[in-house]
Amino acid sequence: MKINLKILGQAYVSANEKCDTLEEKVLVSNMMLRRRLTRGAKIAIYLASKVGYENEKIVFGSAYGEVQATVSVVESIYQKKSLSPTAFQNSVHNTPVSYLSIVSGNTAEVTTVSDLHDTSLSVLKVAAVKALKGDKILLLNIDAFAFDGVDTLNRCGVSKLESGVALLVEMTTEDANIYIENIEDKALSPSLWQMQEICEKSINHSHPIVEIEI
Amino acid sequence: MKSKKVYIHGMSACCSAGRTSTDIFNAAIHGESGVKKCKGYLISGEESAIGKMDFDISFNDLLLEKVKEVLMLSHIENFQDTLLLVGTSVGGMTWAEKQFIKDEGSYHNIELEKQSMQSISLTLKKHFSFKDAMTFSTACTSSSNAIGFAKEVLEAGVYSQVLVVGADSISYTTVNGFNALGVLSSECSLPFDSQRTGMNVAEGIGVLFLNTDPSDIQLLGVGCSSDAYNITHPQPEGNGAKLAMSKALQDAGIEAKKIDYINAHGTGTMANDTAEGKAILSLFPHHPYVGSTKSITGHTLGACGAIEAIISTDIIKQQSIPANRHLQIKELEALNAVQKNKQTEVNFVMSNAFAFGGNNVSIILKRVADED
Repeated sequence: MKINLKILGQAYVSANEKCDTLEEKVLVSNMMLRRRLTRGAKIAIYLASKVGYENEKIVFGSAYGEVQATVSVVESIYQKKSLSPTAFQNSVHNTPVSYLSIVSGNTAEVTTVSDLHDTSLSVLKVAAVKALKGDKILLLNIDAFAFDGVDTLNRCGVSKLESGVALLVEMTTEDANIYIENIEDKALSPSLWQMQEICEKSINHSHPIVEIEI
Repeated sequence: MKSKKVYIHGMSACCSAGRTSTDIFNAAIHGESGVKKCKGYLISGEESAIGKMDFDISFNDLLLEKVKEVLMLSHIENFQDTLLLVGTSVGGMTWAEKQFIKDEGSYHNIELEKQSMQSISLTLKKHFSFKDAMTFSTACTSSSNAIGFAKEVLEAGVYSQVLVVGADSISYTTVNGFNALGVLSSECSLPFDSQRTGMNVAEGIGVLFLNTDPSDIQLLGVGCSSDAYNITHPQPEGNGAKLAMSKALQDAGIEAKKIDYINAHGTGTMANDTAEGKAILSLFPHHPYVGSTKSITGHTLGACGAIEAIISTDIIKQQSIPANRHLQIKELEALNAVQKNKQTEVNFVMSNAFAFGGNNVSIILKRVADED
């Protein structure tokens, strides 16, 4: 089945180590909440603010999840030190979009997929099916994995250790003008490639429509 | 778009309470808990009460055993036309943390494929061919979200059959993490009891095969919501839970009074059970029976949605509702939490799952009568 999605908004951030323009002081006024945000959560909140998000359903994807929180928990266990409750509660894969739902007061359905290098495609497929009901959907695909031991694990040689892509979409019966070609961007985690490709292509269209094949 | 009806066919489960879904249901009926006190998981060296599977077979081999059972029960030759939907919150973390400790705090031997959430799916793909596969990871609602998505793709005709696998193994991270949050009980949990002391981390696997061919159990409705309140604490009045349950009823096209039994999320924590109980009381004035099987199975985290959908299916098939184990003094007196096994007519069951981040999913299962 092919499902065409009209792209209503798109945004992208990326940095070698840390995205430094996430506007969290503007976007999250509650200081206590802001201090608890993970890197992924800050990226999610920032990207949502750039695509015209108005508390739609969200489909989120992350290949590696909350790496910094997970590393903190595992190293504490290895060293037999007390675990930080905040690190544990922030270590689950849906943390970024959970914070986004809290910050924006969004009570809609929020789901998270994680399929390593196929994560981006899973986000697109799940969102396309959910769009069949006529809802606008926010798609987010984020991986933020800068930590002290990352060089050991970064066997693909990814140079952008923090990246995120957002698309706001709705289903359309109009013809597509964007097709996924699986363009590789070696600087980026492969888990973001297809979402990033669509984001870049859609910027050059006045009326971007992408075809998702399921 | 909602054109096709969705039915459950083959299903199989295992957890600390039993190696088969029949064993688990019987354990629930007889009040035999799989939760045991165990040393070696808490870094403090103290005992913890957890639901560890003890079947002299590895977790991955159990996973394959369960999927093979479902293949046989579903009367299909293979999974080549089947979408695999995995729900997991731990994924390969259990392997990764053991490897990290074995290598004395080194990441050198951590393989991304084996430590990732996709590891369950990759393990299965080594032994079976699937049309496609996706992994849902929304903490304790992971496999409930997979069941919800299965319904969407089958209704829309995007796929013709779906295998849902909920699977989570016990890890140091989850046992110590819930302990750090102060919600891990040192005793077997007592959902909905005023004297409850917390939850028990557990492991388990639940596998369901769904398609649009009629069977005796229909997946009638699914509702999803977010609390938009707190990362770990549910909204105190259960507003997010209520919204998910309301959406499930709406999706099912039935009134609240049709629900005979609610398989509650019922973790045994103070916060969850109070909020969930209030939400149930607010939405269901006819006081349906309410139960939690987590005092039998422990909290199997991302697998609980699939395992409890299977228990709920057995409740409908057996027309028998298990008592809440050792429930003595109900915190919410008006809540019809079952204190003795009930042999009664059960046509509609709601099963709840709630998770970190205020992620809520409710599903409704229907007994298919001959006249349907």
